[in-house]
Amino acid sequence: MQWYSVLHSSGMVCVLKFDDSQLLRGTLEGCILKIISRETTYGYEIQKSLKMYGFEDVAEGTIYPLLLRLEKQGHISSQFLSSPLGPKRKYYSITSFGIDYLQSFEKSWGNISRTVKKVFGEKGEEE
Amino acid sequence: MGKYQPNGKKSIWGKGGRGMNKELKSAMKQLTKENRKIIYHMEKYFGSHYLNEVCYDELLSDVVGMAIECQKRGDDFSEAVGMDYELFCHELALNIPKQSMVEKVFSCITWILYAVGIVIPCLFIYSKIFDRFTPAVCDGFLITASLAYFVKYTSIATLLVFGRYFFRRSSYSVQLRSLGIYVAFFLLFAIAIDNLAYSWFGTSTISIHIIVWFVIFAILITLAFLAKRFTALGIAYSKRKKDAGFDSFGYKD
Repeated sequence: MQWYSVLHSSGMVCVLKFDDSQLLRGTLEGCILKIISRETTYGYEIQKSLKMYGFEDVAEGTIYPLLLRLEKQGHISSQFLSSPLGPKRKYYSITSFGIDYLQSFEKSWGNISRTVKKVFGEKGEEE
Repeated sequence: MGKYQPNGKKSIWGKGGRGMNKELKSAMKQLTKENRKIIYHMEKYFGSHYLNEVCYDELLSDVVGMAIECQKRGDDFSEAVGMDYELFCHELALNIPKQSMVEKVFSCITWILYAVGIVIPCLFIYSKIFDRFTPAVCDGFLITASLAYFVKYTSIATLLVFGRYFFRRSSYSVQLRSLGIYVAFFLLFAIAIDNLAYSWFGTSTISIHIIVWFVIFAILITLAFLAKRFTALGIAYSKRKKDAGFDSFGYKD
């Protein structure tokens, strides 16, 4: 949780910043799966791709448990391949089960984001 | 939907169970002292969970690989895992199958066999070197002593190993207290068995052929290790199949 101060007409007021970790938790898995669906890749590359898209604060330590979870659920599969940096590296690829899951995630995300935009869109129009 | 394929190759010999195998140990040498400390910290955390041995080996290998790559890129490994190692390890442990009761039993049996198996050869060597300071008599490869003498030392060795097994499993957050209780209990037990063994077993003597003893225990330890390993492999494989929604023939439900 983060607090930040706002200068109010009556004096300084402390306002709680929205904790976006819960929001991130629900969407990051889908984003990771989408990145993996494009090509077989590994943890650090996934993190770099996420950073490129705007997920600045996502560390490799956040991604790795999600990759394990996706693998456990059968959405991705892994294999160890040689790496130029040292020990063998784990590369991930999407499974057909993962493709179905990704399609269903994309559909749900589309529905939810449209609905949320409508809610905020209406509020914006009123203001 | 294709047939289920297990992820990666699973070796029956694995990576030495809870310890690290040679490959992993040499990988660890590539890490800085700081990063090695982080890995040992994580190992201690994982050790307090009953994780499936096969999956744990793979996990540790992944984490060490991640640390080495971070290091070679010039990144800070502690920042990469997010500073809170306990949370990172907790998140990982959630996705690793736990040990079944059968695995735990075989694990305990293996440790006890190690303890009992090593004690008699140690007593034999001690008796050979310090023959005037031991009640045991050595004649060639035969060691003869009172039953109470053997029972005393095998019980102490078993408790030492058994206690360490449970201490490692349960003490991540309460180390000093667990260690204190373990040491106190061990001392009390050692004193008690020292006095009780002779009153229970009297003066009856037993002779043990050290080579035969060694061979028997080597076989028993190998069997226990194989049983533990096969169980762990079976659990790891079937858990992954189940999580991915595959039936017992390997096809999707």
